[in-house]
Parts: sequence; C-alpha cells; structure tokens
Amino acid sequence: MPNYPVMFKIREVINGEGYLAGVTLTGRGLFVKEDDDNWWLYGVRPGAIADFGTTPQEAFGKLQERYRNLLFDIAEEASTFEKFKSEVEKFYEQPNAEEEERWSEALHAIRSGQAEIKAPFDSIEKARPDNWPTGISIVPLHQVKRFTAADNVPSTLAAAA
Amino acid sequence: MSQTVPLATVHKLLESCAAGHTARNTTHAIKVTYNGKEYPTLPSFNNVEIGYIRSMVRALEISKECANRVIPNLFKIPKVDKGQQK
Repeated sequence: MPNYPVMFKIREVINGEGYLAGVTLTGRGLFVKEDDDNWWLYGVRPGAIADFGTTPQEAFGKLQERYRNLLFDIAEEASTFEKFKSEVEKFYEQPNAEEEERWSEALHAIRSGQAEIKAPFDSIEKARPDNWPTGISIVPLHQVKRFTAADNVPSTLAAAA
Repeated sequence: MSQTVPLATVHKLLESCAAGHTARNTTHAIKVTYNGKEYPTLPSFNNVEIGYIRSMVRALEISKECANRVIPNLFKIPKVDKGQQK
C-alpha cells in the first residue's frame, strides 16, 4: 500500500483572553496504512501532529480535533492576541525534514506512475500542490468590523497529484 | 487492531533517547520539547498509539535506533550491508 500525500484546509475561530482569533491553515499531510491496520495522517506542515482512523476521513476528522485542542491549549496560555499568534506560527513553521521528504517521495511515486491513487483516495478531490500554497493566517477577529457568511471556510482534503 | 504502549514507556524513551527534554501536561495533551523543537500534541492517555510516538520521534529528530531499543520494532530501519559501506 503506497503512502498518499494530501493537502488540507482547516479554519477555526478561537476565543482567548480579550481576543477572538480566526486561524486558517492550509497544510500538508501524509496518509500511511500502518501495521496496526489504521490509516495514519502524519502532519508535514505542520509537522508536530498526527492522528488515525479506520478510514482517511476519520483520521482527518480526528486530526482536526487534535489541532483544535492544541489551539485551545495555546489560547489558555497566551494572555494577548499577539502572543497567541506568535505561538501558533511557531508551531506551524517548525520544520519536519523527514515528513517533508516522505511527502515528496510519495508525490513523486504517484506522478511517475510507480504508485497510483486507489480507493479510498480515488474519491477524494485531486489537486496540484502548486495550486495549494501552504501557510497559516491568524486574524484578530475582535478588530474586524465586517462579517459575512461568504467568509466561512469548509474543511477540505485533497489528494496531491 | 490498535497497537499501544504504556505512557510510562514513552517517558522512558524520552529519558533514554532525548537527554535534556521537557514534558509537561497541558489541558489536552503533553507538550514535549527537545533539540530546540516542540511536540505539543502527544496524547496523555495511559496507553499511547504507536503512530503518535513515531510522529513525535520524527518531529523531534530523536534517534530511531535508540527509540527501537526502548520500543522494539517501532521503526523499520534498513540494514546496511557492510560490503556496501565505504
């Protein structure tokens, strides 16, 4: 079973002490069918997070919950928006060279035909990584005077191809 | 089927393979620091799934050989043929 490189987008709204933060993450992860027979989603960007499930969708859902709980933990310890933003950026920007390498190898295997995207990943949206620039945005929503429903961002998972 | 190891074994791995590390409980997880890096999402359950441990070892760049001595077969490490060594 090959490893599958994916991209994802997650948006969270986090309450802090006197601030409200909108955190939008566009990240990368690697799905691996491990010897425990679960699908593990290893974070690549950010690289210090992982979770698992019997299906990729379950693993992605659990990773989102773990990520949300991390943001809650950071908010508990950050007395200002600036401190919260700094800690979240630090988490996102910490490099994980090994997971980056494994992600790139998995993408190369798919593009070169050494591996193909099979079930259950064949039903997930395919996308080119260059169309999914990675990054994190932390916005002080308490300062924003304009809110519209069009600003809502659904959680999205795409297979890199 | 899940594969877990006791949380005490994870701490033993850190003590054996990550000298100078710190580990403290947050509300939702354990935050581990080592080697100038942080792994703030380690579950604090009594038994920890091995995938989380693999993720932490990679993220903190802990020696896999050392980790395997504490938790056998945590990682598959290719054996180098001595004849191929320079």
